[in-house]
Order: sequence, then structure tokens, then C-alpha cells
Amino acid sequence: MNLLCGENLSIGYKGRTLTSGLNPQLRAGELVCLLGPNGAGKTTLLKTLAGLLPPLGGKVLLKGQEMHQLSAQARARLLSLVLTERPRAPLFPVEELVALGRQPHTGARGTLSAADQGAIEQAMVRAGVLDLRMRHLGQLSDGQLQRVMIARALAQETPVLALDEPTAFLDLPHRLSTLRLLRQLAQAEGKAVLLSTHELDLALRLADRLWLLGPEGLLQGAPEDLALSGALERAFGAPVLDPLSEESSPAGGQLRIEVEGAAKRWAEQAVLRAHWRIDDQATLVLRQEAGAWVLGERRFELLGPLVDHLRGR
Amino acid sequence: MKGLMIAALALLTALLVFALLAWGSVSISAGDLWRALIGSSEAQEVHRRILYDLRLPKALAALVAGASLAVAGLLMQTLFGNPLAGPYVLGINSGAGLGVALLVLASGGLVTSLGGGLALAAAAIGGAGLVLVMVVLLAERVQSAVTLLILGLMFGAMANGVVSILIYFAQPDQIQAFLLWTFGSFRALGTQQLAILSAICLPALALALLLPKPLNALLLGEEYAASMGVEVKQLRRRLLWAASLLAGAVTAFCGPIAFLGIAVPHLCRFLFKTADHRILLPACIFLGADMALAAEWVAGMPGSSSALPINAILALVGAPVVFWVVLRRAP
Repeated sequence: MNLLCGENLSIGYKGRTLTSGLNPQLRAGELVCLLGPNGAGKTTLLKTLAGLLPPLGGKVLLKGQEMHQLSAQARARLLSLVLTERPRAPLFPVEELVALGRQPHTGARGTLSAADQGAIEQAMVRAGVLDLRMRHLGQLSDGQLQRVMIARALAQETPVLALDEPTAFLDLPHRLSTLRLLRQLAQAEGKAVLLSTHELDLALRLADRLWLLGPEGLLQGAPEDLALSGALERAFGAPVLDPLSEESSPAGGQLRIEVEGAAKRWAEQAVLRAHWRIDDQATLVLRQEAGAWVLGERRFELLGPLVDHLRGR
Repeated sequence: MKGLMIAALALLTALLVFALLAWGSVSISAGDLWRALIGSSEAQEVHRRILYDLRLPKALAALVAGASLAVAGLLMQTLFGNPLAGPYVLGINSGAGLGVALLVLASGGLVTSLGGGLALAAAAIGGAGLVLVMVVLLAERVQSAVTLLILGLMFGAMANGVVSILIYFAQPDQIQAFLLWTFGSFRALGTQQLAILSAICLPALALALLLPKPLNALLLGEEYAASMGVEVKQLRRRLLWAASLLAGAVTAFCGPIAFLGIAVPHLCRFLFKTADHRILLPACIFLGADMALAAEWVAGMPGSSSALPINAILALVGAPVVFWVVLRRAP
């Protein structure tokens, strides 16, 4: 189900259109990375989809309702946001900041119920910031602050979570742990997670789908399909890929890949991403026939649906 | 714990009001004070006159003005996300100053002292209101709060420019009258002026006390606030109205007293170690009143019959606070 989508969207600000004819779609339970060269309009698209900027054409639908007919509070119960802007209140205690996430659910005074307290604590546990709860914002590192901001968004308990460059300014371990947390939120809790990033390699490994914002407009698809079709390299105007390392995770099954060349590499990655094992002795075989993928009796136009199938969706 | 600290500030307010009523150029004993206050037949007429004509009006003026300026400062600092913003960043004091300057300096000597009373206040309210309306109208069209801040400062610069030209062509006694107004004073208010001041400030304070929840969200910036369910444009409009009315009314009746608005919110943040407006709003009300009352009491120099300018006393307290905050934040 599409939780957040745009229909024939034109984006930009102050009446100046950046790009138009966009039809982005974000489903429950998937992690989507928004990629694109600098200046392509990633932040503008994100803010338009989050309702912070009005679309210059077309419309944004949040859980089937038109964005600009929703009140700020109704919107805040469906979509939470993490922006690149840093809060300017160094004396703000971490726990109080996370508690702000409960605002769309509390009354006029903002008094917290026991259920609210529970949600705040759970959000801090999931984002791994429970041990920072007594600190002030001025005492946090960039990585800690980013996790606190994510905890605040989690406390908002929304089905959609949108993040603008959540890994900027973080070192590699923090980038990895932040992205791992976001993928977990999508897979384990069925949230729709959208994030814009410059981390191409990480996005290719972790995203269920990519949104590629470039000169060709917005292209959507599984990372492997966009890489194979060359869309990725066209969008960035340069070769951008690196090899994939195997992940150690429980195998959903095993199969053999009988494909040659670049297609083999991306098929391997897709299979690994679905948590399947590649085994040359396996009886189940993945082939390419007339431009389509064939697994046993089933045909797939693209690798994205194949991954969904392997995951048992 | 924080509730107790606020209660302590409130108690301090009561003590300072008492001090201001009891000790001045003449000391009045607690018993005499009480009898005069309740209008007992045993009260001395002179005590009643001192209390009702002099000390009670200035104590109430300091109370309302201090609380109003501190809250106006807090609202502006949160709206603009700027620790050095105060109630006067929008140029409201300059607008009021322009109104007063036009009246005092251009009236050809008709109004030459603070005794001008209501006429002076009307001129100040007119000037402050003019700037206020321009700022609120602009706020509807301007996207960023920082742009609004810059426009407010420009309004202030323009008003100050006109005032400078008026002063250049004015007579010495007119200049002195204007200068006296800029010193700030809680002593120029009669019952009528006090009633007008309260009628403007108390509803604006009540409005501010309704807004701690969206103000807390605004600490993360306008976009975050919007993402957490705050109708940002509506909130911005309310904050501008509240802060402008508070600062405008106080400036009209008591002169431009800038330091309370900048210093008190910072003092409260460091004292209470929080950014939560549910704590900061009442804390600012009481600490603002406390500082205004204390400054008025010191300025009155108990035992002597003269009084120092209130702005001089406040600046000597306020400036070190701003130094402290700036130095603490420096890397």
C-alpha cells in the first residue's frame, strides 16, 4: 500500500520550478533512499512530500488524503521528519527533546500520560540513546545528536518517517549503525522510511528501492535494476559502484545463478539482499530469458519483484 | 523542585513589593503600612498619601513592566532562535521613541516633562503601534524569521535616524525631557496609566501562558515545529502580537528598558537548567518582576529623596549577564 505518494508533482520554491512530472511512491515496510547529484532537488522533494513546501503542481497524498487539506496535527500523526537543521537550544535536556515527539498526541498543555512516557522510553531504547537521557543537547556529539533527533521522530509513532541526509557529518560506524536502525524500522515494524543521502554505496546495499532524482526526472526501482539499466551512472555522470560484501544472516533458501557478466553480479547482490544463499549445487536456478528473470517456474521482469518474492512477500 | 524554585521567586516578589512600600525617603512601619493599606481610620493621612499616590503605583508598575518585558524577551528569543534577541529587536522601542520625540521635540515646548503623562504615553503607543503593524504585516509575507529580525532592526534604525534629526534641531530643555524619558522610570504612572498598562499587558501575558507547548516545539526551528503539528504562521502571529503589545505598552509608560527583556530569560534558563517554556514562562514573570522591583528600590536610594535612572541600575546588572552568556557560549 502506498503510504505517501505524489501525483504529477512539480517541485521548487518561490514559484521557481526545479523539476516536474514526478510520481514518487512510498510503501509500508520499505526503506527508500533518495539519491541524486547536488542541486537536483532532493531536499525540496523531501520537504514537499512532508508538507513543509507547497507543491507547485500536482498533489501529494499522505495515506490517501491530500496533504494540504490535512491539519498540521493530523499530518504530524502520520509523518515524522528528521532535518539537517540542528536545534539551537544547548540547554535542552535530551529526554525533553525526545518527549516533543509526543506533541501531536497530547492535549493543549502537552501533559504526558503514562502511555506517552512509555513511547518516549521505547523510542530512546530503539535509537540507542537511553544512556544520554539526562544530558543536554550542548553536550552531545554530532552522531549522538542525530540519534536523539531520530528518537524524537520515533516517539512521534508515525507510519511514515522521512529523513534529510541523516548520515551527513557522521563517521562510518555511525553512518552504518544509523542506516541499520532505519532498515530495521522498515523491516521489523513496517514503517515506510524515506531518506535522502549522498552515500551511494550504502544506499545500494541497504535500500529496498531507490528514488533517483536527476536530469531524467525521478526514476524508481530496486538498486540492482537501476544499476543494470545504467540509470545510476547516467544520473551521476560517472561510474559509481563498488563490490558488495556478503552479509551473514539466516538464509531464506538457496539457489544457483546461471547468468553471465554484469547481470550476474547484480543478481547475486539481489539474492543476498533477500537473505538467500548462492550455492552452485542448489536445484533452484535463476536464469535470464528474453530480458526477463526466470526462477524455477516464475518469471520476473525486474530484480525488485524477485527480491520481494524471495522474501516471501 | 522546579515548582519550589518558582514559588521562591514569587515569595521574593512579595518581599520586594513590601520593601518598596515600606522603605523609601521615609520609612513606614509594618503596622502603619497595613493600617494605611486597608484604609483603617487610625491610619495617618500622610502615610495613606505616600502609599496610594507614590509607592503603590510605582511598585505595581515595576511588577507589571518587569514581568512583561521578561516574557516579551523570552518569546522573541524563541521565535528568532537567537539568544541576543529581546523585546526590542523588532524596532518597537524605536517606534515608541519616535512618537515621544515627535511630541516632546516638535510640540514647540508644550510638553517638556514626563508630567505630560497620557499625551506622552499616547505618542509612544502610536509610534510603537506603527512599527508593530508594519512588522506583523510583513510577517505574513516573509518566509524566514531571521529576515523579519533584520527588517525590524532596519525599522529601528530609520526611527532612530528621524529622532536624531529632531534632536539636532531641538531646544536644550526639550532634549532634556526626551533624555529623561529614555532613562526609564516606574514613577510616572498615575492610576489611569496603570489601568491602561495592565489592560494591555495582562491579556498579552495570559496569551503567552497558553503557548508553552508550541513554544517548546519551536525551539527546534519552524520546520520541525510544523512537522510536530504546530500551525507555525498562526503561532508566529500570536507571538508577535503578544511581544509587541507587552514591549510597546511598557515602553510607552516607563520608557525604553531593554535589559530586562534580554537578561531575564537567560538568567531563568541557567537558573532552572531547562529550555522548557512550562517552567520558563512563570519563572520569567516572577524573576522579571523581581529585578524590576529590586532595581526600583535601589534606584530610589532608601533614606534619600533623590532617584537614579532605572536604566542605569538595570544595565549595571544586565550587561554582566550578557557578558557571561556570550563568554560561556564561546568555543
